[in-house]
Amino acid sequence: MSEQSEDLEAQLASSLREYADRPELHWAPSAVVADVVSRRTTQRRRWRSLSLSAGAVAVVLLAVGVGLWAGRPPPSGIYPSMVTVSRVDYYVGAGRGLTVDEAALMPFGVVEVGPHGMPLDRFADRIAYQLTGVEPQEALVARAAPDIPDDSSPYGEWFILWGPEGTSADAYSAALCSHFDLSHPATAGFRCNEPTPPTNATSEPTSTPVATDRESPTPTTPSPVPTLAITPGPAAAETVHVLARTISAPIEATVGASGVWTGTEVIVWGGWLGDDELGFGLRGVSGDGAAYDPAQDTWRRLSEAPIEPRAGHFAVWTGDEMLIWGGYSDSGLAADGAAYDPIQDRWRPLPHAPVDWVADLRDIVEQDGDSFASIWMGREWVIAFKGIGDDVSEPIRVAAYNHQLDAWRELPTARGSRTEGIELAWTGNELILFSFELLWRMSIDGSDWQPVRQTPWGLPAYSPVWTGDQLMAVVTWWRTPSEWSFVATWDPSSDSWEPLTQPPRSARGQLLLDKQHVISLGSDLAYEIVGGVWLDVPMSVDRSDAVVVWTGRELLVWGGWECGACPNGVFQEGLLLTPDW
Amino acid sequence: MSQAHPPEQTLELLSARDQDAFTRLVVMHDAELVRLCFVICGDVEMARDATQNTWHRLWSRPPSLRDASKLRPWLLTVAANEARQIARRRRTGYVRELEYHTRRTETATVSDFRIDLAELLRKLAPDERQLLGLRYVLGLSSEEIGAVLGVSAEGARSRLHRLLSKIRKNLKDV
Repeated sequence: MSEQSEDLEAQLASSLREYADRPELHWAPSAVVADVVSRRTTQRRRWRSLSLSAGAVAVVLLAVGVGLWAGRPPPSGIYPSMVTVSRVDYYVGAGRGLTVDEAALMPFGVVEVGPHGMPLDRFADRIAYQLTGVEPQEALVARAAPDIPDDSSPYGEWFILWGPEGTSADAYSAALCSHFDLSHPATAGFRCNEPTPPTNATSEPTSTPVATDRESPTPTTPSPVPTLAITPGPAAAETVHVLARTISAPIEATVGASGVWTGTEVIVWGGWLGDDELGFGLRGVSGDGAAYDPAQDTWRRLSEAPIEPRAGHFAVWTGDEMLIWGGYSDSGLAADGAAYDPIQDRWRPLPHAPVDWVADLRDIVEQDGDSFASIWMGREWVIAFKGIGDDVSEPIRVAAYNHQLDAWRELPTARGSRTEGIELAWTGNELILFSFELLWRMSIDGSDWQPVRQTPWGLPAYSPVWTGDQLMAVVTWWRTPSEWSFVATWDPSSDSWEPLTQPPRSARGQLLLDKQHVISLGSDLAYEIVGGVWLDVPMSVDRSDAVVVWTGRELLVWGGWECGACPNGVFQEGLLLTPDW
Repeated sequence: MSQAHPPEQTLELLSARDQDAFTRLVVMHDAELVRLCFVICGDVEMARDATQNTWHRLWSRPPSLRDASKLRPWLLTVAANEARQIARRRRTGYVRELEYHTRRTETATVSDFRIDLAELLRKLAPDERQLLGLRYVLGLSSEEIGAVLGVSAEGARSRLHRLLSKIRKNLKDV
């Protein structure tokens, strides 16, 4: 190699090492391990990148440092500082860290604990970014807080609590002090202020989704702390026996495949192939498909599709065809689709989506799967995706494919959460769109999106399903050490929310609809709609990104990650689970 | 911390969810993983998230490696993949500003001028930034880089050569 190249290499090495030599990158090993082993579900990971509406909640940042190192005197109390940046009110304090037990007693959501060793200002930037979507440079918070020592607190523990908009600093401070173990040795020198006790009234429904204005709200009177009964409900009324058997498809099992129920067959298609031999990464995407007839317990392979192999695509059953659209192919994000006729075992390509729509899609090839959603509306297939927005929200582009006309039409654009995903539901005459705290409805004529009232607890709702007369969704109350999720119903006529009977354990994961039950798949629970009771349904589907199809009688699970004993990490055998209701 | 175990035993211990063995790997490799991720995605938070995802992947689904020496390349590969994915998801080409000095050697006069490293990195694909990180931040040999990229040592050298040519051209253009 020439002298010039060596010179360039030497300078690259020195510059890049300097570039990557940043103390804030490094966490204490104990913090790394604690974070990893405490993760249990993908939902938890989702919450790690939580983005809360700045207009919907007030944020408390409690910076807690023991301060006994380096001869630094310990903080002598909680130092509340309200700093308003953009739409966020920050309450900044200092003291020792909360134990897990203490955090569990807090009447506020604990958004994140840790990390150790991160300078306070950087942590504030990070939290501000996660909560508001405001770029770190614009969201400097802690530096403006006069009570926080202008240094990093390398041994401190940082965390934030959050509550409804307008919750006063005193309310947070009082809650902290009332649950704080002052006998802990690390609290030497710690003293609580004498704040006003936190309000404990029942919460009122919050306002409708926040519009586009980005002005900083001025905290007025303190909002009450939501009083949620976050203790488990009564034990399940009964345990439903589930008959389980394994099934083997004639194609390689994948991750992120699609699955539809035709009335007689479950059709699976595509997906990521598993890890290579050394576990060095995915081997690519599959273009194979197969159909399973549960009545005959037989499989058949599908003919070859006219589109690129892909994963993470959408699929829907129209009544006579399976439609596939989008997904990730080897050449990037796909903006095309095909229809499959199971009687003829024949494919046909779908027409192209609206031109500018596709162009936008091409521009955002980096979007992840949560940024897309689809729902079948009886005659039309609605597909929605998030585009590029501003600091606060992102536009959700929506288009509908008419199966009878074999044509697309564009629907009005909605606004979505900047970092969270989108979900759709169809009530029979209205399209419902959830994007974290932004909830919308639109009538079938596609006139425009109207806001849906947020949950009265100031908490986001996920996984909407329409039962025939009301919408059910999982509402999550995030706490440390574990979040608590329950199921609530939304009545479209009154635009109001009501919680169901509290489940005996946290209702996790995807909701599936039976005629008489709503199944909370991740928690092995089912809610009997008529009887109003929870049932144990031990399905134990411990897979991620698997195909999950409810046939009306049984649940077919195929592929998916988390198979520790499988060479490529993917479950090769499918499951057919039949609850004996 | 408990006593160190032979590398082969580490894989077994990982499969058995041995937290001590896991912690030992974190101590050994966390710094290099997070540096590599930072070069790829150019953001502290993303780099940290990518690294944590890597450790989570190792903890939840340890790879079925027959050779313990493959573990480090496995970690580097997974971390790089995570960093690329996170950077894509957040659709950012944002790399923190940092300037560095280089020397215009093609002229007789050696004079310092400033190059925006951020601009340079922004023009590179994530795969190329990964290659830079492996070579110049972690100091891996071509054989080691090849193990991470799944190519031969010669293939790694070839990629590096092409990348240096591209950077050199870029610097000249600047």
